[in-house]
Amino acid sequence: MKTHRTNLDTVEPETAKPGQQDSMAKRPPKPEIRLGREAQARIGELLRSMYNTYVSQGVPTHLDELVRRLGEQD
Amino acid sequence: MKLDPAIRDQVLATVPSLRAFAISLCGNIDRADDLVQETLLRALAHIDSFQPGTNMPAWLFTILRNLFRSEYRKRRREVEDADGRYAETLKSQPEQTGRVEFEEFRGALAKLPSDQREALILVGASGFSYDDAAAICGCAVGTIKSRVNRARTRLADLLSIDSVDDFGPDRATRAVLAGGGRG
Repeated sequence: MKTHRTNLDTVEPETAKPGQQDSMAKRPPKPEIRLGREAQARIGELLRSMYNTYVSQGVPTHLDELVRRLGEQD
Repeated sequence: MKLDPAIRDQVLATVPSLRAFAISLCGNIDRADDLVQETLLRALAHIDSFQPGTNMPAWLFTILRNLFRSEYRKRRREVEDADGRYAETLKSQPEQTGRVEFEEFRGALAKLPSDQREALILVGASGFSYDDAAAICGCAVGTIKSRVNRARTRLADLLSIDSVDDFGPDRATRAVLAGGGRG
């Protein structure tokens, strides 16, 4: 089964820089919570497992034929 | 119009992941297939706007994501109310995780705001860079990072995954932080 490369383990939450304005500017931003590495890894594992299960379903014939048919039309 | 075979192969190669993205967003296989079909028809109708040599998956994901946001977002409640029935239509069952764990994770993912869900899937499962994910979602890279982080934190809470960082706050402190000062 194909396993997708992901970038989940390198997530670094970006906090608002001083002077940045947005629609929530009047409300003080909530502090970003950093997950522990094990929790990050577990969520990444569950997410990839779910996604790869969907990928492994293959493609319904009608979708595959749709692209192939259009590829053959003049 | 005859599709260049190389372009056609790129499209075909992207469809399984595109469909997985659609299922992850919709929580419904039939709707996901409709979304993929609509995406392919739209992409092929505008194939001249695709620059050969650029990122075909990102281009297709962008189209699908925009279609989902514009036409399917109104049905979000159905995703949140999904009862897991759709998973029974899967041809093969989850391999690396058990069925119960799979269902719990799918249910938790469906509870995320759609912008957090799509960011997490694009970066954490579809394999896009933060730059690509930002381009697909039409937002800043920092926004994607923040959405991914919030999505993971929320999932950890929903799934009762211990999210204590070695150098971070303990669970009680996190609960207070996550509450945003309520009460």
